[in-house]
Amino acid sequence: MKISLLCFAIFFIFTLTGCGNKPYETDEGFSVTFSIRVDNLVEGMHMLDKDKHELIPDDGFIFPARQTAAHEGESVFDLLQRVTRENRIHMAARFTPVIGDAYVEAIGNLYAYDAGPLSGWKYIVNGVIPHISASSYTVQAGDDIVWAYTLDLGRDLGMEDGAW
Amino acid sequence: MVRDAFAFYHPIVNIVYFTAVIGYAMFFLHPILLGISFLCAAVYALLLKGKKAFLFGLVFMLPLLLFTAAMNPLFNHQGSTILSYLPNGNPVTWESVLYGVAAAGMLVTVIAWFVCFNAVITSDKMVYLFGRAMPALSLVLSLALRFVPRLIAQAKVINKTQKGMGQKNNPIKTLSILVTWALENAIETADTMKARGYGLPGRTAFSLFTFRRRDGYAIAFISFCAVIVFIGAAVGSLRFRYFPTVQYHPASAVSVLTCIAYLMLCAFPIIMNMKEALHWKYSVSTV
Repeated sequence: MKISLLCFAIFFIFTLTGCGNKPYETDEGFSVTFSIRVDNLVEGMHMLDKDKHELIPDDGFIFPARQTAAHEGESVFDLLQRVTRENRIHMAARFTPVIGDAYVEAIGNLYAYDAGPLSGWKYIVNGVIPHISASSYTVQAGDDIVWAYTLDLGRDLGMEDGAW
Repeated sequence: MVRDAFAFYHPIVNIVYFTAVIGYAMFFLHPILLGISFLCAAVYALLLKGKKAFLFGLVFMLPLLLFTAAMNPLFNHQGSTILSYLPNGNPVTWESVLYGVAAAGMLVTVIAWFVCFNAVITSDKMVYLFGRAMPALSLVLSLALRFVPRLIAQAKVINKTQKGMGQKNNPIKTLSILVTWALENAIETADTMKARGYGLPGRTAFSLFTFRRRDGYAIAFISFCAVIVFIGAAVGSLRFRYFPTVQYHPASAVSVLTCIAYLMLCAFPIIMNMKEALHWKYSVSTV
């Protein structure tokens, strides 16, 4: 009984404190361009879950491209989390605490797989899809960072493929 | 068990009623339908089991309800209305809180219906209903449903006997005796059933039930209500969406009618009990 309680408590703490919002020690801010796009879905609306049609803005931007302050050592995921929180945009992620990894499940209530089996969120840095976890890609000054919803594993985003 | 008017109906009426009510309770997440089903299940369980059901509800169901409702927003982050943030940065949304309450309500409602089910459909009714169609399954079901209460009763008997013999209370010994008894009893039961020709054609059941006219009326009424509810739900008049924003079909004549039919369906045993009580009261006063 006691052991199971302890296990439960540990599990609970791990799930809830997966990846905290750590304060940045050296706060040398620089600026990056940041946007969240769903323009694929404006055309591919028929692929999308009917209940979610109302979530798609006409211009295809959940967050229009804007100069955004970023911190030294911040990852693409940290940036997304901070910006969505500051702007009251919905964002949900799944964490793997042991390796400090984060997977972006949803932005603006659009979840992965909502528009077919190959759909989900991808991020693009300077026109290239890095294909590594967003939580281990550190942003650099002047980067152009785009989060985009793909319907086809990123092949429909018209970007250079950085991995293979 | 308190004398329950509905339990005196033919077992087919009982099973049709519970199939419809539990089936619907497992699928409807509309708050009004949930409320109707929950209220009827709770009142009927209280009628059937009295104080015991009340205690069960307070000690077991209420914590379960609160726990389930509280868990959902911690793990489900869907929904457009952000209330606050969890330590890991995921949002707590109003929609997920609502959905948690609804899902917890559904869980508790179904459990409450099964409490009623177990009180009304006794093992002899079970065997009567399914003994011909699937003898093995109905026997296993009735044995399984009776298993735990029976073991508990026998454990009490063993404990008392041990105490009467001047032995100290020894749980291991009790368990050993209990297991021996259970095994022997199982063999004896099997032999007895076989000796009495269980499952052979032309065999009668322990309890004899006759299908009377009122049973026919009851089945007709229950099916009528169930069909109306089914049509009302299929048409979409009771659509209730939780994610990403709460949205529901506005109240219409069809939806009101469906709700009334659902209420009549769920409250059928309660109405029958009330009718019986009034009948008795009336008869006594005229004497």
